Amino acid sequence: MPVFTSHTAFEIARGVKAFLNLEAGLTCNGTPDLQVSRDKDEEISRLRAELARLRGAPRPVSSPTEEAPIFFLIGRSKSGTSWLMRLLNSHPEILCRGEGMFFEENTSRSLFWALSRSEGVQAWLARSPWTRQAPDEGLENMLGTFVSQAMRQRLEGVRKRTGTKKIVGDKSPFKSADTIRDIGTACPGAKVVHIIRDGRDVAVSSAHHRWNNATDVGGHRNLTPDQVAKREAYRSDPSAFLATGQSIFAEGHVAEIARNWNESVGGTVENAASLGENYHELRYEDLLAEPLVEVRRLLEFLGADSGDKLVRECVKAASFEQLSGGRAQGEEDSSSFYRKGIAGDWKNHFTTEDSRIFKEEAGKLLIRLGYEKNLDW
Amino acid sequence: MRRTSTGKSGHRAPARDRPRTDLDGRYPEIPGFEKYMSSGIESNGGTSLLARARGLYRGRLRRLANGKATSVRGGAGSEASSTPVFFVTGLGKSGTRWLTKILDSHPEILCKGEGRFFSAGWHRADLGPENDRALASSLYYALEHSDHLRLWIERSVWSRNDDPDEHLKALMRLATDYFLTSQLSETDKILVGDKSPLQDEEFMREVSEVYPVAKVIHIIRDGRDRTVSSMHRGWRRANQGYLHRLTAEELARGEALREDPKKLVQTGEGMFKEERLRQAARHWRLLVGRAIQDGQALIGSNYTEVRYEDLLVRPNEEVERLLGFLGADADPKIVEHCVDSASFEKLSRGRERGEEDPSSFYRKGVAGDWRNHFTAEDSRSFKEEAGELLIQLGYEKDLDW
Repeated sequence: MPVFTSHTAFEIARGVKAFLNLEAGLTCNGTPDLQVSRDKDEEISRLRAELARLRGAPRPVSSPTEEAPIFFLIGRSKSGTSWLMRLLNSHPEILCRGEGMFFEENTSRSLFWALSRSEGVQAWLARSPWTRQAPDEGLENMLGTFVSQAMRQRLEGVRKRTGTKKIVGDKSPFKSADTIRDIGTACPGAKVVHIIRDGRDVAVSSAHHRWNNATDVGGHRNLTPDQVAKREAYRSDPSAFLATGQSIFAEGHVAEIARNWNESVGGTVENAASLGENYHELRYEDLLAEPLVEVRRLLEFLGADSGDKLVRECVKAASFEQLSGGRAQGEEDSSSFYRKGIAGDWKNHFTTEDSRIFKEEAGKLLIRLGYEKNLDW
Repeated sequence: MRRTSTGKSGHRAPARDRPRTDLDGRYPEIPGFEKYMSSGIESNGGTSLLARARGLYRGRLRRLANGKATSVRGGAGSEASSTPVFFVTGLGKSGTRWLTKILDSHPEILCKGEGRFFSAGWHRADLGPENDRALASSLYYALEHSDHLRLWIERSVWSRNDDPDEHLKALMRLATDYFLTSQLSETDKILVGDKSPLQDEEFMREVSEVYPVAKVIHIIRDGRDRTVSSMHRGWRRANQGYLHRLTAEELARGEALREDPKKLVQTGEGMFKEERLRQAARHWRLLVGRAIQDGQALIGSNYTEVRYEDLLVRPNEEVERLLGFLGADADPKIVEHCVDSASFEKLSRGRERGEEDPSSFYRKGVAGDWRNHFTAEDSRSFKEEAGELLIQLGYEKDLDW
């Protein structure tokens, strides 16, 4: 509950309170008792905004839900971040949306990128007497305050309609291990949920994702005629295509994904140490195998109600059947974002050569994360 | 330096929460205050004064901590919460720096500048490595003109349904609030002010939109004196290499004035080129006139004015009033201390008021110096451009001067 201490707000609040008391047939004793009930609080905000408007001043930005807990749901793309976002968002206390694109200074179109590319902002930070001692820190702090404010303000809007949401999270797949470090410096105290998936399944999923985002089906990615032919061959008969021993991957694609998975996921796990208890890691595979256990743990970590009934409802709301619009898990639709929803599908796709390349780039991380015991696979 | 994941060498841990944690329950020792209380001021009742002052200090700190618990993170939305932030404004050469020094010498107030937060319409194009001490364009300008930032706001799932300008205002408020209060938290003080000279006509409107709970002190000086002062600054800056701002003829007049301060008035030539004087008068009328109007209408009880001339003739009275306005301790001993530590003698390092040094920022420090410099022609020009505002502000009764 806000405590009105500013002079102006104080006067207005007192005036409004007197008015409300009069309405209720009470007398105002005139003491600056500013603890007012919630609904009167809202009434006061409304009247104050009205008063500001009448005074010719602009309306204030609607009050964000101050101090609401904030979390970030991160993971390498194609690792289940969207699935988990939907799952969490179905919880009555959690608002989880994406993608905020807040972090990573070197990822174009992120907020961090936008702020750090602003010459005016950089010049100001470097020269203002309030920031010039540590301009980089200044930029991170601007980023952090703005991120928290934007998320909490949206939460406030949703809360006004639903009344139950009180924790807010952003889902953003990361491109690099910078994301978790940026969160740590810009938003200290925020919680981080990191979902990890076997890099080989990530690779298979990415290949299908590329096919789905090709320019010939309205996407942004240019495919060579060869790749388009490959996609069509696979889609007309997946098992026949795989039986030929051809790789589903374009030249160099496996290496590229394996390298990025190794760097970004491996780096994120390393950087996570500095977040301590604010970091929670879970596996796509565990979420599939034991959803109730994993979801309860996750809700406990986030400080949300983790009663059995709620856990079951969240799992159900984000079941593969729900998300895919009726298909059973394992029933593939190569053109769907929710394609197949299983673990270990790489075994059906990887050629010997694909495996060799992946092992070379990220074999050790697979072992470190417990996906393999050694390199003999 | 941002690339290391944990400790940044030389940096303290970047905790945005720092301003709050310091105020959270435990009250820091105030060595600076104690030292000042025991040495700077003669003991008048000794410990009781110190104890009283300290009690006030802690009480205010506690209130501030309570206010903060619900405020800082909230940003532009939480305009109902208290803020320790204020702004000192005024047209350049009107005493903003003097007033800033007075306030900063108060044991509870941190005041410096220029942060250049506001004035979205003001920017400078000549920022090169050669003038690396020059101030940048305002933060508001930088934010408003960042196309990438605007695009992000328009696209992000967290902001795309809202008015982008409201988000920019929120970002302005959050950044301003953060930068000022985080430095404040590293001191023993409880109020923080930025010296923000008027750059354009929109300052008060912007403050009222972005930071409606911040207090604003507007220092006003007779436009004729500030114009004389401004011309001297032009010559000083020309000596520092900013030649392009003045014409050759103006530079010559500066030389002539330096050789014989009275000659230019006697010959009727005067120190000003007519257009320069008219421009300065118009500038004063527009910016000061608008600031007064908007300050009173839009900022209301969080806005106050002070005259340079009043600060000269009755400093203690005025400083006491301003401290009360800010909510700082206005004990007479503290007022005396503030006035004294920003006296002309101290600021000019030893000269008395009226003893001129054209090469100093603290040149002469008097009111009414324009009478020594204005020719009849200058007066006529100024009257035409800004005579009404002089009357409105009580500097003249009519146009017969």
